[in-house]
Amino acid sequence: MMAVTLGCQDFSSKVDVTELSSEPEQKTVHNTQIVSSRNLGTLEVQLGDRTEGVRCGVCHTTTNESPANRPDELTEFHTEMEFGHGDLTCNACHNPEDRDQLRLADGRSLAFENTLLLCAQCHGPQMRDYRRGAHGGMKGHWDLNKGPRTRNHCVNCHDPHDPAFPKMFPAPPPRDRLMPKKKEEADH
Amino acid sequence: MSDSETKETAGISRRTMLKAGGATLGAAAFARAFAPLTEWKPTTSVDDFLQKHYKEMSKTDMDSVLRRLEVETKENYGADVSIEDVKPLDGVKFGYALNLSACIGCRKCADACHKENNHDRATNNSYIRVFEMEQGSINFEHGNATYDHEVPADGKYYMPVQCQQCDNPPCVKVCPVEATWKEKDGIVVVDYDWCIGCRYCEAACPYHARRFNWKKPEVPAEEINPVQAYLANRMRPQGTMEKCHFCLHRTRKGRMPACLEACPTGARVFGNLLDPESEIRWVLANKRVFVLKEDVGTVPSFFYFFDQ
Amino acid sequence: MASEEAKPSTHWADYPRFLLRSLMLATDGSAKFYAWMTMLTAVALVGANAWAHQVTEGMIVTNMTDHVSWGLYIANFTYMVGLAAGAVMMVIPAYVYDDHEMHDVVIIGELLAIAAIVMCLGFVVADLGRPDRFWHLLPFIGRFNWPISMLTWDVIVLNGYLLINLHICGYLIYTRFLGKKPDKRWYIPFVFLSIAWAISIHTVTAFLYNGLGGRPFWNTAILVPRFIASAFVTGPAFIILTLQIVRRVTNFHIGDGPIHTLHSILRITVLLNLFLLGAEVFTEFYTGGSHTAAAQYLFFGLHGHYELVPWIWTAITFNTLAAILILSPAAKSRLWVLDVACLLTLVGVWIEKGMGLIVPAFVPSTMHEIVPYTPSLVEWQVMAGIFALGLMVYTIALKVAIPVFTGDVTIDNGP
Repeated sequence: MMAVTLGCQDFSSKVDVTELSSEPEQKTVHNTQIVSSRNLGTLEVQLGDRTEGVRCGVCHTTTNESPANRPDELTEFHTEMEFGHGDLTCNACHNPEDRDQLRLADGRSLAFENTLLLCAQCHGPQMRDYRRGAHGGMKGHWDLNKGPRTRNHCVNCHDPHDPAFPKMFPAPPPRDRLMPKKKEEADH
Repeated sequence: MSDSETKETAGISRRTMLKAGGATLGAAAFARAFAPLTEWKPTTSVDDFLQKHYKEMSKTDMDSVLRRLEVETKENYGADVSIEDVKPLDGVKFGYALNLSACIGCRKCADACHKENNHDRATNNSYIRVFEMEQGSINFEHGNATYDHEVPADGKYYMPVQCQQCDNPPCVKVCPVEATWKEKDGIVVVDYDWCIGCRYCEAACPYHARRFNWKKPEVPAEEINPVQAYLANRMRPQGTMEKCHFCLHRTRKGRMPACLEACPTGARVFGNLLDPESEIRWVLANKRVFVLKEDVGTVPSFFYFFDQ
Repeated sequence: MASEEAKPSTHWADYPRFLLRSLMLATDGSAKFYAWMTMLTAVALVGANAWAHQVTEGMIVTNMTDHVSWGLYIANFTYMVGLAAGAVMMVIPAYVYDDHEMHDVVIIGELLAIAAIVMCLGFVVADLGRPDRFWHLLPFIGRFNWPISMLTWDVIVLNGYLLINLHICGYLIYTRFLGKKPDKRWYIPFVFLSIAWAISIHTVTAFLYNGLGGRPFWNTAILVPRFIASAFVTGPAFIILTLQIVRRVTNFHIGDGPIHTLHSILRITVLLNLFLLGAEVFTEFYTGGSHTAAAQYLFFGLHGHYELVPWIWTAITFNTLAAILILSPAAKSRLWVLDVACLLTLVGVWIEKGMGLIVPAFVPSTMHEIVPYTPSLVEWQVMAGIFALGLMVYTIALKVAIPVFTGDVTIDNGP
């Protein structure tokens, strides 16, 4: 099951998830697509007054010094990034041989678009739930006979370097008529 | 004798005159008291007033009602909308499950509902109420639906509550005029044009899932969702009851409900309970699932579960 | 009355005369009578205007919310059902125990039932969001969810009770007007039916509330006997006061007998009412838990909210005081003591069964949210208007019935 190859296409990061499914759907008319909101495998770099996505290899092939392998070793580059993904080293996921690729635990190289498999190495239950539609959310149709569906990529919701879901301010509370002052204020 | 009789007659007539005067005055006063009613335009025509119950309308009846409602929406709200009568699908019974481990209480579902269903803007009405709950307790006495701070807060978890689409719905049981009923796909609906506004269903619901239109809902024309259905998100008349209908104008066409699409954490799982391969069935079979207030015997089609 | 047509007589001519005389009696009277009716009309006008605003602008003009969706109207409805049912406390002594003195004045109780039911219907209509769709609730014409919805049962029993009492009163007044002895076959069966029916109206009204599993404050079988007990307090209490007034402002002979009989009934029912309240309070507070929250809110306040506490303690004080007065020997020797006691218990039960019974079921809400409720001005105005309407109906009914019963007005002595 884990060995399925992800049908990866170009850099638009659209992955056909039908191959991901353990049992191939017979009656499915429409596809489910995993759409990544991040520009995978690139770093946003400020060039003058414009921002450009620069592929990792652009820098990592032009410098010879051996790069840091732990967040606390970073001195010059990537220091603005937040890290909060356990004790993982950079090379736990990034391929030191080819910076435009990721690397699975067994040493195999993996394209950036296929991070689902990489994440699933450790987060098996999440991957299982994701496949059964119980993790990660979706948009479109519940009935694939009627229309397509899009799924989130892991990295849409989780920053791979700091994957905890961020805190946020909620949408405004209900403004019921005659509702007394908030409990928090009244009670405490 | 004749003299006294004349007197008597005159007396009576004076009295009768006075009485008639009094009665006229009284009638005029009551006419004045009831005068505000002349500004009340609940209906625009006799057709409106005599409109039949949803289940008694033929296809032709329904079509003319839908066209009339579209015209009324244009007149009252200035919005061009299309209203359909979307029927339940065969072989489908809807179920909804919500992952309490994933929900962070951001209220994006409630907000999406607010917009999708053309709720009154001033009250920020929504069919979903999200409760901030104390960790280690499922007692709503420690809950709070009006929190307004960064979420998720420490020591709290979040529980969105909406219509549970019960298989044994107390609200349906109590309705004196059958204005609310359960459809074959499990959705409990309201015929907004039949409801008399007695609010008995609101008293009967154990989940605070019903909402009453205390006044005409106000939504700016440009914000009105024009894709509407008769039993779903069309503009509701003043003085009638409404409730969550699992976005039947979307879900009966195979689409996800608006609240699910809005959820940023994927806490919501929706699907067909009759399809053993559906996501919802997988959740029910593999997660630790419970229903709210199981003890009141409502048999909800809405489930809550935890990841761990 | 349909029943009269069956008898071979000149009813086709007599009955219109009866109606005409009734109309004259209803509109003729002393200055005091006119002043009283004008006052009631003025109050009714205020209520009518408030209701017109409510219908036009929406129920937003009330202070009800999605959390407290029933308020003053349904509270008064419940109270009036009790008053209507309580009137039977004259009928039982008069017809079951053959108390002749009571029999002579029983019409006063039967007419009260009519006026109280009129007010019940008024409060139901006032509570509807869409009174224009009232026809949906009519059997055969609308869609009547009978027998599943308790509200449809209530529609049947209340209107049935109204019709039964209209028939009994109409028949008795009409035969008296003709100077004939009423034919027992035409009213005794209805009188006995009305006794059972009186119990049913209050039982069904209690079922309306206690059948709701989501509201633990109501969801208790004791609600039914509590309703009946309180009805048997307010009914006799209101009638005692009415008898006291009627025998002062009319020449209708009312001895102390009926008042003493009603007093005897009250001696038991005030205690029974307090006893059942006590049983309820014990069960709530000894058990504890979150289902006690409503009772906690009502009696002692909850999470900083004390809106109903003064109400319920006023009710308990009034009812206890009334019980003491009613049981004291003074009430027997001095009738004004009894009058005061009746007034106290009328107010006490009004609070206990109104605000004290309806509102706490909604506070806290089913999801334990606390949204307090105090009626808005419009609600008070509509309530006053319906009270005025009920009193007008009762005054006119008595105004017609009493001269006929005293023999001052018959078919032979009028124009």
